[in-house]
Amino acid sequence: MTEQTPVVTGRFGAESSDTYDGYTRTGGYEGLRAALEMSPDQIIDMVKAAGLRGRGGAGFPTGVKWGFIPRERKPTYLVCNADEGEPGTFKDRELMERDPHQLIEGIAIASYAIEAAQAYIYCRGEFAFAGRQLERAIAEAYDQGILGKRVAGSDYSLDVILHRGAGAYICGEETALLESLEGKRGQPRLRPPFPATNGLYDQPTVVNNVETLSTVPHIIKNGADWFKQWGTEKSPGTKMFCVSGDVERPGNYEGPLGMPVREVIDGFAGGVKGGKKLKAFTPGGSSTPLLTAAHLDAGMDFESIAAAGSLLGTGAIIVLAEDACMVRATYRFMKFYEHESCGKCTPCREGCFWLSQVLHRIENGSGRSEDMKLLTDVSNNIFGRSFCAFGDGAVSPVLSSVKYFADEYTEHIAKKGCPFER
Amino acid sequence: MVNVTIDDRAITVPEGTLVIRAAEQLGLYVPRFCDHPYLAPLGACRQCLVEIEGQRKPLTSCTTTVTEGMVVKTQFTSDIAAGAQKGVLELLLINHPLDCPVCDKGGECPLQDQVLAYGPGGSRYREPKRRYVKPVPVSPLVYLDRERCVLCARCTRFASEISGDPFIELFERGALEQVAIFEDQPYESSFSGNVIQICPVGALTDAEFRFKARPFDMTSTPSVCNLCSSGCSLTIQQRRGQIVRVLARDNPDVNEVWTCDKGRFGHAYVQRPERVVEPMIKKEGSFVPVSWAEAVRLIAGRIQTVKANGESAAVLAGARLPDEDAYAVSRFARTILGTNNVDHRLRRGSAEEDAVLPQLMHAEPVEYETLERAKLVVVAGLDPREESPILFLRLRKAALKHRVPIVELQPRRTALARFGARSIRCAPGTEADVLLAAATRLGERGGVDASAVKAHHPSVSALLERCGADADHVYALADLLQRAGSDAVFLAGERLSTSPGALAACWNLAAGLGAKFARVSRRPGAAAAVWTGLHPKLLPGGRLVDNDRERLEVEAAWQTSVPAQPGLDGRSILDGASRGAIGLLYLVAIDPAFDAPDSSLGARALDTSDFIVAHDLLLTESSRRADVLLPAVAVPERAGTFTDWEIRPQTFSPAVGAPGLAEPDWQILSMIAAELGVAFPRSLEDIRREIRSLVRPQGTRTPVLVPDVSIPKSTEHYPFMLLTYPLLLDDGTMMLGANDLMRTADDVFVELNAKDAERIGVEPGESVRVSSQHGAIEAPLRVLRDLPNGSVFIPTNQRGTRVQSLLDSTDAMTFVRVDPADAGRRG
Repeated sequence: MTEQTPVVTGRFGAESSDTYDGYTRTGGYEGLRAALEMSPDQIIDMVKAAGLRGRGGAGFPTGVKWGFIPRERKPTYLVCNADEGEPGTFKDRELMERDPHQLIEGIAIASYAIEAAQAYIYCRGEFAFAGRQLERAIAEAYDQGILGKRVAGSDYSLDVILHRGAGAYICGEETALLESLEGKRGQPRLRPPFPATNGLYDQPTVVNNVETLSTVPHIIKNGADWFKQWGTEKSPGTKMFCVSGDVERPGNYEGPLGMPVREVIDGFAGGVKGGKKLKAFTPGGSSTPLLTAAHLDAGMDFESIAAAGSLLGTGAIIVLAEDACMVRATYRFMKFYEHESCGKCTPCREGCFWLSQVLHRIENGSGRSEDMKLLTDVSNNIFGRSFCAFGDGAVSPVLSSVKYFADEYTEHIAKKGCPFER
Repeated sequence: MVNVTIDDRAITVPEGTLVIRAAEQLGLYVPRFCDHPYLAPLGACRQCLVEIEGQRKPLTSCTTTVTEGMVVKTQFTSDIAAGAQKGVLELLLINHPLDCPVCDKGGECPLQDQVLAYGPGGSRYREPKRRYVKPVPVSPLVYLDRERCVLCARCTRFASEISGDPFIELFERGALEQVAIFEDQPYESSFSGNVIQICPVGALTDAEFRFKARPFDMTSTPSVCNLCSSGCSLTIQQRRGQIVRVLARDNPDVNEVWTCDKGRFGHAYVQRPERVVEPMIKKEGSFVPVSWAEAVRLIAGRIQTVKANGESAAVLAGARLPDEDAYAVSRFARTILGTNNVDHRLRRGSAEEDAVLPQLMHAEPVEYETLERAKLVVVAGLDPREESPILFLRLRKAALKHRVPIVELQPRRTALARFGARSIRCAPGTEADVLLAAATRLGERGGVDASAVKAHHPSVSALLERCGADADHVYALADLLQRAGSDAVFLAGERLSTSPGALAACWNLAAGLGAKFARVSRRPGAAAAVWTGLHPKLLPGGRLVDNDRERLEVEAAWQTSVPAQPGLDGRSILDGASRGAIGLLYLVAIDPAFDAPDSSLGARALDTSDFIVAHDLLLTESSRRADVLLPAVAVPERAGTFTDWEIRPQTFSPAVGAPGLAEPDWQILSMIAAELGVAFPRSLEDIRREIRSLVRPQGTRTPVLVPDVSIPKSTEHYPFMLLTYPLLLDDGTMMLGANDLMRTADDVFVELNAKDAERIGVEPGESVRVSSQHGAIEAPLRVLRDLPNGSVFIPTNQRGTRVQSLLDSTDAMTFVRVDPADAGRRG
């Protein structure tokens, strides 16, 4: 069993880690106090130097993002994207449930760095417990003088507002999130302009993921070099990996970026369930192309996974064992995207609807010989053609499963049904 | 400017131009559904994908702005672009019904055209298509077929971006996304027809036009709307002589691509069986059809008799006449009837109006586009959404897109306030006080020529006290005026003429600032009525009857003499007629018995007149009282010109044939002149030539005398001041047959503020009785939050009851009392 490298998960399991007392007992809010002694630019420089990259999926350098905020246009806003909805991803939920003050501390530091007086947490509505934990922690933080007027005794004031989503995956897309936060229909916005200049209420806005913000206090407290002791040159630090599917011990594990996939699955999660062989896995959630056993030695960092033909995404590894039906799995993924497509653009709205029906048909014995070409064609008409990245993500399981497991499709079509046991 | 290459052709376009527009300039049409030149870029349908060098994936040309050196390849030169477009088209079609043969849009459908040009012969989609209940009425005028919808969001964006009535929205998501209205809020908009016209498929259809005709079976004629003074360019489409559809026609200078529902759906009156189709003479109390020759002979004889006996003749002509007809009536009154008793108003004129009107056509014109560049627009005595809807849309655009400050000055807050116009509210009739207070304040700071402010007016505080307007608001207006200076624009409603001193005060303020001024009337021919001389003191070109030099110019052109004495205004003509003092009353396109702002004066005047000639389309309260009734052609049946509120002339030609023996008004007058052997223009071209020679802008603006008005005070018995004006959809004669449209109209109501309503003890929705010295009406109460205390608003001519019975146009103000309707019964 491989040892974890707990940074953001450091307090998991500690007594009352979710309360202000428990948090401060273990060094909580020291990063914030240190940050308030620094200038906003010093903080941004430090986060840049640490090389922290966004943990929400795209991996954009966090410090660089903060640096885009124009200093002359006020108000500016910080928005925490806590609308964790990607199938296979459940790291932010645990962060919010177990260590909400860590997130609040990260939000306060980030808000101070971009001179925002108002921050929002857009929390997935279904996360009832996480939402309550945050609500309670925010109230504690106000009571303890961490939020509100004169943050931690400084001249800086900050209000944090918790907003619960109403159940749309697309609202995890940052511009759709901003629309929804403004009370509008949750659909992505045209870019440019980007949120850095025209975000919430058309004002400069930073949107950061929960894990990203939860990492920030540690960097401020311990320095950039400390952070860079882990990970690779381009993907420094540690990362939470969500392992699910056919493994012995599904769950969240924290390790250095760049550690081999095999080690995450075998060392952290106890290997494939029942000692079976691994057939396929997603490295970063359902929107990242599937990889196979041939890719188990790839490092879990942005560059290595990209080199293997997929994306690190949220670091959510969904494991499919040798007896899993790839057509059925792909259909399940597609059913999700069909349901969650916001409907704004034609390719995604109509394409996901169509793909889902075709996959359903193949799995249930009505596949036709031309269907594999159809699946590829329709996917290619969505990929790179849709309004936002949703479409690209939606067709990833289709294109990658057709690429690696074409024979399973052929078998379904030839045998007029699923060859696997249900 | 930016240099780009599209399909190997170079073009230079302004910075910020969208690729799709740059391509259009080269004649390259990139297919699109969601893109619309007047809506913000969306990029939703993805049909317009093009290849742009250096980009790893195709981009939507409708959202991508050009950059220097950009190289674009459209479907004409790029397999990637063509392939992407083909892919989108296939996806758009999977759920689209193949019902083109029965779809209203068939034949003018971009989707159909696109499929015909680039689409496959068959579909690879084998699954059941999405099905919905259809059609769903989203309003009495608009039907929705969700199966045909391509979810381009043009309709919903029109509602939120352009008209500001966001009651039609996208609901649900993914493949179930659909256009719908809210369960508890109807789609109410004066502009709903536009969503039908901009729908790129047959999803939104016209309740009346549905299944009536195919686009290729209709003949289209460009026309101009005659239902208000906005001047919308229209296309009238007819099939077998029947008007089947009216569309807004692109005119970036005026209506852009929009028109209001009244203009689009309000033309049913033209082809009603009730139309008067032949000349008729009253014999023993009922009309008998006669030939034109007989009718003309009778009228000519009467004219000779009246003149021989030295009796007086008078002409009332509606402000809905096209320019040429208005001119012909003005000339007919002067040269055939020999009188200046001619007016387009049914009310009293005033010295201030007489002074301002002739100057109007010489003022620097205000155009729609001017509003977008103004530094301030002051709207006074005008409710644009009700009285000039397209002006309302342009003001909204100016405010929201160009951030032009708008200040409205009226007793009643209008829809302008919804998009941030500041409202200065004052008691009805006290608009002058507000304007004078602002001018005085401005004068004190040297921000305006002192001549705008007359010495005999009370102090600012006294003025403010009298009108009840908020001092801060008035001072804010003064500040805005000072900042805007000559870049301010004043839009004065015709109603301002009926508020003592207001027109003069507004005119002087504009003149003092060197700012632009426009008068906005409700009726399409109001501007022309003034400059053609449908006015007892004005001759064509704004020349004064009692100015010898000016009159001589007109006499020279007409080669005949014109009476030098100013004539009677509309009110005086009716008064005279009611005393039997008018030997010949000549009515052209006007209905005094219905429209006169008096309890019964109009009807009385007509009943006591010796001899009435009327030109009309329909039997009205007035035309049925005529001795000779002559059938006139409706606007879509004639050629002519309308000059809108901007003083922009637009000509039109007939879209359909006239029924029976109907003739244009000018032609009827010409026939009478011929019978009398008097020179008169014999063709439309003759008239236009005369207009061109007589009507030329000249002169400069001069301030006019602001009358020292003492506004009458309310009494204990009649404590409320009455404000009344017609709403867009009133119970007017020309709304005859527009049944679906009228289903969207309000019934009559009485508006009070909450405080007054409480004092009287009535709840909204309960019936109140409003009475004046002249009459009484009953109607349900509505509460409008910030109507001034002691003011009551009732729309003038709404279905249910008519306010005219409360009025007497000799009063400067009308005072009424408001009681619970059942007060008497409660006993």
